[in-house]
Amino acid sequence: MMEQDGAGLLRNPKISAVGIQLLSDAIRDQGISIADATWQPPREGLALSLSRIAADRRRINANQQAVQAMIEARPEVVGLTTAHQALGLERRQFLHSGPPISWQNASGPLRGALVGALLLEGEAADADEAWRLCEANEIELLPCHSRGAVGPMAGVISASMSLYEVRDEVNQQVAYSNLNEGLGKVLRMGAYSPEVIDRLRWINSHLAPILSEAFARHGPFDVRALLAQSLQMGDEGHNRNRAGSALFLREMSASIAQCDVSSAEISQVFEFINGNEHFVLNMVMPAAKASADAARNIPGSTMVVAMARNGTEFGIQVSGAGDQWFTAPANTPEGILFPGFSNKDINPDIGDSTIMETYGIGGFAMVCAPAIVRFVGGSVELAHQKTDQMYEITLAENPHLQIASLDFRGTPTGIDVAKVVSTQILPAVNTGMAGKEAGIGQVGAGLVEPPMSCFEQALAVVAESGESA
Amino acid sequence: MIDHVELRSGLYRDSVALMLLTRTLSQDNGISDPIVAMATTLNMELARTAGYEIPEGSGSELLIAFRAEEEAISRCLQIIDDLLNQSQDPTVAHENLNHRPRSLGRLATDWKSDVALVSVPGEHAAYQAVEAIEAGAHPVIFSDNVSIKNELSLKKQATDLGLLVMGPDCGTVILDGVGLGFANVIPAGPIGLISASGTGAQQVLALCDHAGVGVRHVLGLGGRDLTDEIGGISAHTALTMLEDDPTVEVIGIVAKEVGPSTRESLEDAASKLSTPVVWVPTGDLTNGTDQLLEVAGFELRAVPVWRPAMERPNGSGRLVGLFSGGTLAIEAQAIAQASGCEAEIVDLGADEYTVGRPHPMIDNTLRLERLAEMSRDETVGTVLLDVVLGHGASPDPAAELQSALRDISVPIFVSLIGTNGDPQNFDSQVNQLTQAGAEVHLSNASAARAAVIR
Repeated sequence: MMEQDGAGLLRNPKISAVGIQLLSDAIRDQGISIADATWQPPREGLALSLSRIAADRRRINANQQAVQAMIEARPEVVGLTTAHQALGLERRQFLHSGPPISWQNASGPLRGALVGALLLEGEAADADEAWRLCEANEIELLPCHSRGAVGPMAGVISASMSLYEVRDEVNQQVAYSNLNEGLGKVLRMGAYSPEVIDRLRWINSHLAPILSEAFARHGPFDVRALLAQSLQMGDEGHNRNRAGSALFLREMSASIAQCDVSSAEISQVFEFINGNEHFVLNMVMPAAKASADAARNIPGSTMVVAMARNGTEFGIQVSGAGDQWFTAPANTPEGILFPGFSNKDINPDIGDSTIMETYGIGGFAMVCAPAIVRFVGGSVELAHQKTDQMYEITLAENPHLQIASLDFRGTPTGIDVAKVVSTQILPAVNTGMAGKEAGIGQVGAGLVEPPMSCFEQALAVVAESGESA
Repeated sequence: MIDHVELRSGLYRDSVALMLLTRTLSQDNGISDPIVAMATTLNMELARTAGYEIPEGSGSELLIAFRAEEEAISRCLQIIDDLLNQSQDPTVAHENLNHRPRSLGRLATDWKSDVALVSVPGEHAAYQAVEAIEAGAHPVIFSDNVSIKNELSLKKQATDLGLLVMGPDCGTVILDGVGLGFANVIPAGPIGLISASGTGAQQVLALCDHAGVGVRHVLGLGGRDLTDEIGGISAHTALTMLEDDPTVEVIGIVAKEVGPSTRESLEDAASKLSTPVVWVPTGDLTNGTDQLLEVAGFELRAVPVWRPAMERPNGSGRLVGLFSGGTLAIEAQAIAQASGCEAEIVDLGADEYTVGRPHPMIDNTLRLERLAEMSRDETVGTVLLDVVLGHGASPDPAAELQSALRDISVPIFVSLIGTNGDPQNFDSQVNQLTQAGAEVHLSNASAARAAVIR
């Protein structure tokens, strides 16, 4: 318990206010400066949940515990493994992004990625056979998050796939993701043509072993330190990872170059990484997940520990509500399309990559990445405002990830569902856009709004739990 | 002096930021030859040249090297940690933005507020208050209709964090001379008040001002704080805070409702303080204030009465009291009852009258309607009113009431609760009321007694 301290209260107090303007004006009339919040009442029916949350004596401490655990995490890539080895995946078991979903409800890109994964695993001779297996429910679908993994876009992970293993010694957490394939026609966007499968095979047979050897030589790779730098070099860690990927290659190049393979193969690896500005995304995502997982299951906490989309629904998980998903139909992103595509080609929001916003970067650090503000519908000023607004719905500022253009203010970290519902400010999410039809691949990148209903449902459940606590 | 050298991994800072940090360190007399830099080959060489023994690293660590006396090492490391983790003062970043926060929590955090005034509708008030608590601000909850359960929880949460919850339904607060809500203007002085009765506190302020004694703080805690259901959680905190304020020489407690066990625990706490604590009973606020002033070493001179411009004939009917202040109504009721006088005392500030309309301290419409009825009602023998001045109250209540008072033929007694500094101009209020035929008292008890005798 803290010392009761009336010092600030009883000497020249600084005052903020919310509510009746007249009362603030009466204070101003005394020559005292006072700041007013531009509060609006939340949607009808939500006052009860917020009021219960206010009475929940666990919440303030629970949220501090949750957000500090996430902030103090020091995730490192320790090496590579496979989905079979690390997660026990069998050949017809597939992980996917977002909350749980069935084949019947799956969108085009997820279906395409599943078809591709069946081909990769050799479970089907061609796409038609793969499709039939899926229609006949011969496959098992599990959310990545249910197995300690995350996957961008469709997020399909199958047994033979190589995975990064990311560990956080501070909180004793581990998380996994597969290796990023590049842009355009790629499995994660729902493409499954032969070139896609061939690339996945090369990743498993060549890239992964070389990286594995390189990590062994280099030692654990500190992802938080990488992000701290890349955020000051024009990345926001979700839709722009150009600096981060370059930093990764720079730091790892000596270790990669020493691998016991031909210089042609080494060169191929360098070229592949160089050609993929999102190469590091599949390392920062599990790093964010390992960090956020340390904040799970803290009774009374209203902090979001996962936001993820499966192409059909947007779902969130909240620390004080266990593994329960709170879902609503996913919105369709808006942004800039690759040539030859139109708005009707865009699939609803998909991917686990919103773990970056959960961690406080991506759309939350939009102001770090002025180069891509056009992607997300506007000007640098708009990016500034977006980031600024995110401080309203978050619990803390991450001192390890600082925003240079905000005079090194820490990134807004730890989304609080109560603050989201109370302010009606939704998390700002940057995202890639997948084509609606299976097999097409990426069609652009942009911005998407999570559905408010997810946050309202989660709030109600944590509020209810406080009643019986 | 000994050398401290370490390589910290997982910490990246921009080189310019680190150069500035190193410069700040070198200005500290206890630290010699500081180097805080990313552990590049060049920086490691520089450190070796400066005579430090540098271990091998991977090149991506942060190098920290300095010389200091052994006992000063931990202090130096603390300074470095603080500088490394310093997040920019958000108010500076905010200056360039037009964006005004929607949430009280963010606002209070960014502006480093000590106090957060909450006056949203009651169903939303508890959440706003908890945001203030989370942001480290003491909430003043003006809103009413907050449940007992929420009040209890908010007060417990605040106590855990060393904060004081004022309210809910807190009408009057003065903090270091700044009035929040309905507050009279009074010079700073030796008295600190704890109040669970807004207009009760205002009566004490009016009388102290008359006695020439200043009041620095009024900590209004809401009417329920001293009931046994809440147990005086805020009152205990407030006692500690006022005790710790060296300018407070006497503490007064005004509460319209006090639970027996709460009273006992507060008396026990008060007995351990070096500052004397005086209970001002709401049954007779004037007498209570007299005692408070006496303990403070002053006295309440004769409480002034201003005669009406024209005397009115004595009526033969009952006494009707139309009050805006709840505690003042209760005090008048008690006095009428004790005298056995037939009286109908109405608190027009009670919840049943204020649904969908402003409080009678802000707007006299309802009171004017009632006064119009009085003028036609022959069973009414005497009329008793309170007029409360100060910040937040109607800008000229006497002018609003004047013509309705003139239409009444029976004697009228007004307790005028105000100070010389109040924005309404006390003398002008007295003048208008007496011109309209009212006998004006500074003391509500004295007005009630005069009305009862009549």
